[in-house]
Amino acid sequence: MKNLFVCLTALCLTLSLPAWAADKYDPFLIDKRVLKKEYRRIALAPVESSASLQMPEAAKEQILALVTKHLEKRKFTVLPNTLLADIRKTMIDQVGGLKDPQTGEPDAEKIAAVQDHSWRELWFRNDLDAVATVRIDILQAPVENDKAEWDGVSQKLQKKGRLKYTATVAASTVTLTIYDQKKQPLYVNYGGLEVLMMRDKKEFKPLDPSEYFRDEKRIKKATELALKPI
Amino acid sequence: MNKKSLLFAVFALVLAIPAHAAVKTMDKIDRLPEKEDEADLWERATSHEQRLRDNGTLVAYPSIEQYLESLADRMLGDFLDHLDIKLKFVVVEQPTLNAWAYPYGTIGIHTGLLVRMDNEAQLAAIVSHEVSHFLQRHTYREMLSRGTQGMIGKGLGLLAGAALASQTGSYDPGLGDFAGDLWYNLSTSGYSKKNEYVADEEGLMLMAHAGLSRDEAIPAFEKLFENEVYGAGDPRQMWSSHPRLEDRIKNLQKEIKREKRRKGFAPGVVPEAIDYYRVIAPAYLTTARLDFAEGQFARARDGLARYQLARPDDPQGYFLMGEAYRRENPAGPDFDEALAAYETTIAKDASYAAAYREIGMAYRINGNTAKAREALERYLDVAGDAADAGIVRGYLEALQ
Repeated sequence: MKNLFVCLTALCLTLSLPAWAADKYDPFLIDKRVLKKEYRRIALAPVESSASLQMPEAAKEQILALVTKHLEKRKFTVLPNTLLADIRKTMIDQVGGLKDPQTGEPDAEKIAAVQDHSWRELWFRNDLDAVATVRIDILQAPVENDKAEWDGVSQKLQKKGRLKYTATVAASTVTLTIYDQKKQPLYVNYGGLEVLMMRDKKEFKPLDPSEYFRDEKRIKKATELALKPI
Repeated sequence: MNKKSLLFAVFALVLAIPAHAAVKTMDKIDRLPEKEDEADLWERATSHEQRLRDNGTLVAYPSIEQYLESLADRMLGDFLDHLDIKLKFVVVEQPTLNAWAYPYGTIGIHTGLLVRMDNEAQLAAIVSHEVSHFLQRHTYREMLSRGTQGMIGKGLGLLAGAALASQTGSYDPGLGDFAGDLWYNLSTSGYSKKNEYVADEEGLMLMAHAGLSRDEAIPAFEKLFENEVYGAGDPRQMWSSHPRLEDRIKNLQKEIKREKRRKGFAPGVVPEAIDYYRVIAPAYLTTARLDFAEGQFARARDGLARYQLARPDDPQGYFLMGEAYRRENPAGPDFDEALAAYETTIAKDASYAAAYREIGMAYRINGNTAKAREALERYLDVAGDAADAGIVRGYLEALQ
């Protein structure tokens, strides 16, 4: 009987394995070994996030420090984000700021020019193999039984009580991408950061932006999740 | 093929599918949408199309849309006159090879599909397939047959919305409604096996009706495999991800063979490729830029070479060719092919500022300061008020 149980368990595992394996997300867009062997010198880009998140500088620094530490531990040479940040700053001055002086609105042509030229200049001035970018993205996280789950994390939406229906709430995620010089992604991975809404009785309401990025543990976990496969 | 035989063929195909008996063919009805649930489906689909227009996914290409409408007219003749419906086309700026049909006769076509077809007959093979989905009211049939299953798709619809967001950069959860779900499931995974075969076979008849060679359907469908270059697991893989494509090609081959054995078989024509390149020319430029973003430089160059044949005097085709070479090899130092393309751009239009800038940037990378200065100064002469003029002045200062 015991043997039969072991056999059945083994059979179930064998049968379920291929389907599970096929569904698993692979963040590597090139062979992992090639990435580690041929892309040794990686420059960091400044952290980008939607203006609506009002991301504090401290949170950006925390993320970049974690990325640097992780990559260096994996024997990559990491060039600081200030290389690109300084180039961008100079170029923004050279184009007279990114806003249209007449309307005060963002000037799309100037923004595109600074993005393109700063990218090219970063590579022109430095001996690089890749650039790593970190972006804080907003997405819809599925909620079940008052718990949101997305990109490897979960978060409860109310400490007390439980609302038993399914929904989606806005949540943030750390997206880490490593690009080659052609701006082709070599690696893209995500780590769930935090929900941007909370339940108030039977409704989900947006949190005030001052509530975002307060939990350093969540920032650390999100960044580590995005980096983990490297 | 005359109207009568086309009607007969459509009717025969539908008779062969008992599950669809409840839905009448176009020749048996005098108005569309026929029933309330179909009207509801149309309304949802219309709102879906409107949302795609609002978020910039559907872009107006009047000359291409007109051409596609005239192609559909040639395939259909007066078949739809009694319903007072005219097929419409919308162009989607996507590098992948895909097309789909809304239930009210609007057909969406990716620029990636337009540019990969070699001639009008190949395009007709795909367009006629979509026209057939409309003629057979396949979306409505699928809705009736999927019924409750369709509603499960709410979650799938959200995924489809997310997939769309990844293309358009804007997530609209409203696209996750039933209509959105149906559309994206159909356009990504295809209709039921039977409906796909019906559309394939009827598509051949429509091609014959327009006097086009049905043999061209084979290379046209084989090109759909090219979607694979856009990455495994990519939601935009569309048709090629479907394992039935090989089977469908085999079925088409069989069908064409059978047709050829028929008495009075008319082989149809393969129109001149260059005429096709000319009519869809704007799509080559758009798709080349999209291919740059995907890292598909060789594909971009293929399309641009066709654009140059179609519009040999337009400097844009040469400039983008230079960009394809430069972006594929951004570190240099060998920029010969890119430089040659930029020089041709200037030969075609001496005021094409961006070509001077790129020549200057290439020489700057390979250390030819004098030539870099000369070209960048020329750039500022021509485009002193360009958005990046200040940055280029900065390069010139550093080159002194």
